[in-house]
Amino acid sequence: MKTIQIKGVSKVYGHTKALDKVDIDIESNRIYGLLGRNGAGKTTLLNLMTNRIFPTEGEVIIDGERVYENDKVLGNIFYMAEKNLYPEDERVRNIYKWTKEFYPSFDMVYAEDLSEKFGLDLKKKVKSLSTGYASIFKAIAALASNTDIVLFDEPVLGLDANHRDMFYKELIANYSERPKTMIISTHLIEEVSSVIEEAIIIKEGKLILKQSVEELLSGAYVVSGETSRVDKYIQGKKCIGIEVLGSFKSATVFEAVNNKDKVLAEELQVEFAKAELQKVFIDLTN
Amino acid sequence: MNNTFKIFKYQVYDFTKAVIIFYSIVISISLAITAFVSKGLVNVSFGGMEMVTAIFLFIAGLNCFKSNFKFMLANNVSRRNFYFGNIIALVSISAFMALLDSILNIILDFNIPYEGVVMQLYGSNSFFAGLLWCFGLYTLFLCLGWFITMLYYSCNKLMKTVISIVPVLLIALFQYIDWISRGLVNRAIVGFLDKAMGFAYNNNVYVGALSLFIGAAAIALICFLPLHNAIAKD
Repeated sequence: MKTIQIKGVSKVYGHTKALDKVDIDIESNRIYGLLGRNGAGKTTLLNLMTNRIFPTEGEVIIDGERVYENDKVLGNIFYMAEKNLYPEDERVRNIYKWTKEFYPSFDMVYAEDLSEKFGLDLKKKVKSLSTGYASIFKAIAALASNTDIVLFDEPVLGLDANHRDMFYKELIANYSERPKTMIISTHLIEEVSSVIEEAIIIKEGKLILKQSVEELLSGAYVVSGETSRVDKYIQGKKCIGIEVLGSFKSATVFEAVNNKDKVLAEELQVEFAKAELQKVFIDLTN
Repeated sequence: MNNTFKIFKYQVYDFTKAVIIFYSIVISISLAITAFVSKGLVNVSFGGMEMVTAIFLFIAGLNCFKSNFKFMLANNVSRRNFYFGNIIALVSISAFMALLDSILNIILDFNIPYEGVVMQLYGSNSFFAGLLWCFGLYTLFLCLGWFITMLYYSCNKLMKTVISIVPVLLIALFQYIDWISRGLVNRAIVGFLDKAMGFAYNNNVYVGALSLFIGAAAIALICFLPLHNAIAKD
């Protein structure tokens, strides 16, 4: 059981505040989606959680212990970074062998099986891998690490649709086999929405939402219809996004539907639809 | 297994290829010279190959930080363990190469007119003294290379320029002071080296070796300063 506490963490780069007093409690054995627009502070947060950079203020605590220079805690986290940190001239198989040195629970057989499934040549040098295969190579290392916490930063970067689908399936299978805390930072929100249990949304360095995907989507809906009718319907409601197409309008309402709403919608002849995570994300972060 | 030992293992693994290539070249050259000398084709004496090793280790030190540091970050190793693992590896590599060079010295000395650097500087042909002196020299050069590359890595563009210019300015300043003081600075430096390297004490190799070890230890200690807050960079 590894719980992560991010306590009042801020990170300043020169004149830029990448993270601003972020407080997040991450429960163990759940799959989180870390979502945010470009430059929102997602990678900074993941780097802080793994001691790769240091916070300007605040601290990251895992199971009651500070992460800062703590080998015991760090040895239980695997972080698949978007950047390549592996020696360019080293062969993939050798990297896996060395990863096993540092992560004794690393499953070499599983890594080899996955490499075969994804068509990753273990004899290839890191520098000769394409963007997609570099992501696959790192994702396999993360899945085979068998650590209690696995962090993924853009795990499907450069992957084609087939490989992305395979990756999500492997991720679920891996989680089912041995539950662990997984945090996935990605821009492909709709794809990952079926995988993640909870969404953490960051905007301009601040945490704006941390909620289970189920709750989030049940607490939001899309109402659409003729513009004037939709306008009438959304009056006094917490509306987080509007789209207009000619005389047609659709609005995302960030509230749960009650009976009164249903009656009103019938009166105004507007229609309800389920909100999509990506839509809610866009509306919340715009 | 402790992370420090794993880092030591990785650093040694990373050095292995370069060391093998280096000694292949050194041994090939030595064999060629031995062959030429023994056949009477040339009449030369040569020596001081240890300085070649020292320069090799300095360059190796310059090249052994960035890639390994990033790999250690990828494996979530703390900087503290990375530091200790590296220091142990650098000292071990220096000791190993000092031993190889000392053995090579004996072999070459036996076959051709050859003088090792300790013989040239101190007139001593003691195996142990030579080994110790080379060990100190190699550790110093390797740590110095490691420190310089780490210092550059941890600095931003402006600081890189500053630390590149400062030594030049210091040399110019010392030269100026030396000129106005009629050689005082140069005399002080020579006097210091004379004592530190043991020449002032009846060419004592052990004093020289001790000074080299003190220098290496001082550099190894300050290596932690740029490392303790180093982060992954492109």
